[in-house]
Amino acid sequence: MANGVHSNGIFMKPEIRKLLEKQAQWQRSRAQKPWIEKLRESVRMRESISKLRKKRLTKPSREGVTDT
Amino acid sequence: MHLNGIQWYKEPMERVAGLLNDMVASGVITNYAVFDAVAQMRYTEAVVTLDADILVALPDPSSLNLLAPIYSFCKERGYSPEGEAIRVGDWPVQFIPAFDSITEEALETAETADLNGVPFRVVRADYLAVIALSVGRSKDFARILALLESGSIDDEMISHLAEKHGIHGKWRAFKRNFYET
Repeated sequence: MANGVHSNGIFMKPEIRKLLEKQAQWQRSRAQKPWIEKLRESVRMRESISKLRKKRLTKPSREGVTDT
Repeated sequence: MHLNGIQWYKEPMERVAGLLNDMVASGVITNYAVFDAVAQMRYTEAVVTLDADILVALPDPSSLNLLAPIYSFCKERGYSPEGEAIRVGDWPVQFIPAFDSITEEALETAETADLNGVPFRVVRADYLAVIALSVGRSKDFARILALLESGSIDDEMISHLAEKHGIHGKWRAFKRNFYET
């Protein structure tokens, strides 16, 4: 691989490639967590989505809204 | 963990596993294995899912009301139905009788995982992928890709099972659409 050129032929700055590789490695590491921990995470994600949906279904409020 | 002679579970999924193991011991079901998203998370990062899907083998598969003994077993232990599922702590649990040759084999070949000391039968990654391939919704295709990316399965493993169960055409189409350039 030439400097700055990704394996698929797309030009990429080496520092960007390094950053993306680091992020991908971090994402892959999440799969290495114990199963029970991932099940807990799944429940937390489900609850967050449910809260967001409920919030979206309620009447819009001016509270917490800042006009610019 | 036992407290005053009573089995006590720390995690909701341990409670699900305990309930299923008790069902087997009582003869309500002859075998079980968790599949779909909950099983997938054994290999991939966490995903959002609404319920835990359990494949079950029943002692009398010809019965008219297949799931009635399961529901009454759960009711006796204080677990109530919620829609088409039984609520166990954070998890609505759906019981699905093995419905074809793939799910029957997935159940037979399931592994026994250790969930904080509680045995929990779980469908193997290659069967998770081939079940997903046979069902064929977009979320099933995403599951196959996630399993492939995790390195828990490879092309050859899926290809072998797809050939065995007569869905090799689906595997070829999947590869054409998502996998090969």
